[in-house]
Amino acid sequence: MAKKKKKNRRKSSGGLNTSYLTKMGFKNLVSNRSMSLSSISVLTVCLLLIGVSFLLLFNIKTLVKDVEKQNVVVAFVKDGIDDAALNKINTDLKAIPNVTNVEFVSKEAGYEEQMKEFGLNKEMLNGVIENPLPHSYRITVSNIEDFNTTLEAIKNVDNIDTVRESQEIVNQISTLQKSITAICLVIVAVLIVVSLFIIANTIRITMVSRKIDIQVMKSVGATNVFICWPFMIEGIIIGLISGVIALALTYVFQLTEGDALSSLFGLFGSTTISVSDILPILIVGYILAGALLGSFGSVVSIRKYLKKEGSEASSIV
Amino acid sequence: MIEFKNVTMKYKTNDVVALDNFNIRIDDGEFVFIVGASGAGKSSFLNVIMGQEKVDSGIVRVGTYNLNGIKNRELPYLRRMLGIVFQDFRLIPKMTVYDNVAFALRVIGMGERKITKRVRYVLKLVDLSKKSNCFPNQLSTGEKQRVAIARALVNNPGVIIADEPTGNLDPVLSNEIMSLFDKINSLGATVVVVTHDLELVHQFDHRIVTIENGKIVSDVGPKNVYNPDLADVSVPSVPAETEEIVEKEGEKDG
Repeated sequence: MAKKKKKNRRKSSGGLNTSYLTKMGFKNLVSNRSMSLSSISVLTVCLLLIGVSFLLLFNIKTLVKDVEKQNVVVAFVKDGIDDAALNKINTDLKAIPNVTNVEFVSKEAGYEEQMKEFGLNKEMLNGVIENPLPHSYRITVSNIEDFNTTLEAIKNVDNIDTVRESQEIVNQISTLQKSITAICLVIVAVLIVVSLFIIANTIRITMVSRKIDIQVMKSVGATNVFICWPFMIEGIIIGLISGVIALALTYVFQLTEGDALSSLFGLFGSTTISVSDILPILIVGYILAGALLGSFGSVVSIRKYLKKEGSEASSIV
Repeated sequence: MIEFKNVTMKYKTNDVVALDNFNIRIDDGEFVFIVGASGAGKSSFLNVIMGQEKVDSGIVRVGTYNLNGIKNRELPYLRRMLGIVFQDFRLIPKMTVYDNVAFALRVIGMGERKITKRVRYVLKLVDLSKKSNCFPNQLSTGEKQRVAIARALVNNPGVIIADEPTGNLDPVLSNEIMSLFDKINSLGATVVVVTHDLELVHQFDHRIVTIENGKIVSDVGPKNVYNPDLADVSVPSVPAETEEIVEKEGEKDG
């Protein structure tokens, strides 16, 4: 008996005709074109917003990095210390985590710079005012988020007298970065859920009209993979088309709104990242996101039709 | 072989007892009419055979499958052993007659050349060769039902199950469809037809099982008088290697 059962199975379980099923997916897409178009338009908007959020996130990160690069702390050393002590300060400063560069500025060089900044000639004041500046170090900090800890460490180095920094700006930029990152991530998460919901609902609506098709498929012995395949193909195509349109719209967004963003970033001495700079990431991102959202949405909506049988299946709306 | 032993089944959705201590045995090659009023339990009986409903107690066997413990992933393979004909035909409107019939073979992954051969043969058997490129909405009701029968037959199933196949047809067409089932049965397939059309049933000499309130109230064999114990008696069956017969016919047909 068991042997016969196996024989029956073998005879009737030929390979999956994927090309036929894929064709069915394309046909379904065309025959349900109004629903497909509405899915594509809504998914495009979601993907566009996700893309713009990411673009904004990328740009904010770049801006913060640029500000970080300019972020120099000046540490003045105590007067009257010898070369050995200066060398030790140099070594100690370099050993602090988060410090990327340490540059020694002698008291003469510092004085000259200050004079230049004030538009004065050093020779004019020779003998009138004695150079009041001590030796100093220009220290570049890499990560703005750990700025306060780094500053404390610098202050604690032996023979450091005072430290000059623009902590307020640093703190504000750090807070801004954190807030924008959080907002963008929340927006992206919400949009992913919304996209899934929309695509699953759209396919569910078309599925109600194809309930009979699914029942016929089941009655002639179709497996769940066979039934799912065309719907998944449909979802993937909807996702891919939406991804391509969203990519084009992101480019348009950058063309129209990019100038305003560039001017804003210019205030901080930074430049914006354009779509073309991260085009490969965007293409892969949009296509992958579209295809994944599309196929996952399809599976979510068809799942209950596959699970239920008979009277339970008939009651699904 | 289809066998129900002390089967009880209740619909979870409305708590209605559809089959009540139900016993029947249908051997390979038999032709059985299941008759009864609406709500008697005829369709529930078929739904259990198709694996669409699970029983609450008792034993159900269809061919080599024990349906009590059948897993969902095994259901497609059970259904490939059965050819199912519905009252509302259930043809896919966007597919031609050819594609509707071929669909049952595409599901099992058969190659296109074999499909063409089998579909042509079955369409000839139901006299629809000339309509193979038509869509369901271009067919008459009788033709639609014949397409549904062709689809049920094309996979060479051992058992043909028809749920009210003449429910939407006039008496002449009903007779024509029933004769077609007769022909299919003569080729070796087991045929189970659920109907409430007693007049039609009496025009054919086959076993008649009457159901009322989920119970068998009569089981009459061909040219036999009522025998209430027939459920436990094995009716002499036609040696049924249906597939081989249909295949041979198909090959002859080219």
